[in-house]
Amino acid sequence: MTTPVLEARDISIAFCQYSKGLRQSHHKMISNLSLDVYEGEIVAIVGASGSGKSLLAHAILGILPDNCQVAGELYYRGTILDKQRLEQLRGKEIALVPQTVNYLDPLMRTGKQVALSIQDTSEKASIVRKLFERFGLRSGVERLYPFQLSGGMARKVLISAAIAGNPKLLIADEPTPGLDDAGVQEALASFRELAAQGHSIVMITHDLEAALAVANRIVVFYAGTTIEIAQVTDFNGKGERLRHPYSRALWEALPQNGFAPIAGAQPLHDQLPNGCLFAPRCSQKSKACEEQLPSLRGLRNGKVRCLHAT
Amino acid sequence: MLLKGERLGYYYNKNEWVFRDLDISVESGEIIALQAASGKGKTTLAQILAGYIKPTEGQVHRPIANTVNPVQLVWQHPEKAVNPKWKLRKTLIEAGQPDQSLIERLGIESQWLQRWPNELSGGELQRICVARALHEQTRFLIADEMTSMLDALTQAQIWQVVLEIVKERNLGLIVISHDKHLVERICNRVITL
Repeated sequence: MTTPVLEARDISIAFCQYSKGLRQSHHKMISNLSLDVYEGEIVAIVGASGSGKSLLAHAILGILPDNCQVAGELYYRGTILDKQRLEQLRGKEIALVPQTVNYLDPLMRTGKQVALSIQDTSEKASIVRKLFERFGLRSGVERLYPFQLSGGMARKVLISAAIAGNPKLLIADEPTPGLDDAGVQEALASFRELAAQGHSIVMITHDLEAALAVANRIVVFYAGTTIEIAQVTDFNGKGERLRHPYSRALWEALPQNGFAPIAGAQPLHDQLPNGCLFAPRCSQKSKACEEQLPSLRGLRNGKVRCLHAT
Repeated sequence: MLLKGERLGYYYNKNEWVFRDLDISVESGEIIALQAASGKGKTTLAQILAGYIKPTEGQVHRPIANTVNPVQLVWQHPEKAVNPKWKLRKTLIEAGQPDQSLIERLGIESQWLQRWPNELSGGELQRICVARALHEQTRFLIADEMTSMLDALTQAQIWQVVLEIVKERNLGLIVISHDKHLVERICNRVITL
């Protein structure tokens, strides 16, 4: 394949906080994250809430708060994506579907907000109406303010706003929760359609099912690190083809599979274990697992961060 | 025990009814699903049943409250359902100290309780909200997209405990969820708005 549309190399994100008085504490939220997405491809980043997924989206768009430090490099079409270039591209070639309705302007009617990224001034209203119709938003929704929208409607408005300007790269941060089934299908269908036209999509989600329904590749995220990059087809049967025990547990926990939980919780970001981040919950761990974070290595047309994966 | 709404109707703008003439009843021990498209008033109905808002029309019959509302609601976004200026220990015991065994079963770690809400993930906060809602006086629990923001593993963990408690204490449970696999897995009855 050619150059990836977006490539993230070894991204780490830390933020600095005042804990007591003037004492500062540093929290490393994301460590050594690598990822690429090619033209016409949908890559889904799947992980638990609190694993740092949204920070990644905000890092790509350059909208992290000032107390965040980002290490590592981002490349857009083979050239480094610095602040200046990003400011030119975002909102045009690169667009974000943000996570919550809080990103809408509470004092602007929804129709007007969606129209903001449309270049063609004469067609604005009809483009907005077409988008809204597609998502089943009745006429008149254009004139509503964000507080008058239900959770699902707000989500549809956010997606409409992001794709209205026909972006080359779409970063969708949790685009599906709160949507009804038809809404999810419509959102995913619109992503597929964009991808078929050669656009690239990074979809950040906790919803494995939605990810599997739309993506080409799945990046599994745990406690701020990539632990596996898998093909969608690896999520099948009892998950035998998956490389990491966490990915397998996630697959087995779906209500339509085993609905089987495993004990424990993801470690807090300031109390990460020294070795493999999943080791405290892993049934296959050995002594070596607790000593050093395994590196991300290639395995069977994917990647994994586990010593025992075969 | 019964939780019942009769001829319920609600609007935000005059005569633009979100729903009208709606009857719903849930008995102890029942697990029902409430399904409808976005914007059809599922969350509004949940709030009416829990007594947070008054219906424009109709009546709700709820078990008589002692000190704590017997109809407890768990919201979709736990970060909006906890006081941001309280450390989580205070939130957890807001309605009284929950059972230690419940805290353990939900996998709530004691160190989380010394933290502020913005330091924890949605999954961690939601476990605390569930523990808070499962007060001993709770008779009905309404789970409004309770796990729809959580990963599959955390979802399975929380539901396993909630379903056990519902069974042990013979609670009534209303599940609002878009996840048809989840609904199929856990609910006895589906009500479509």
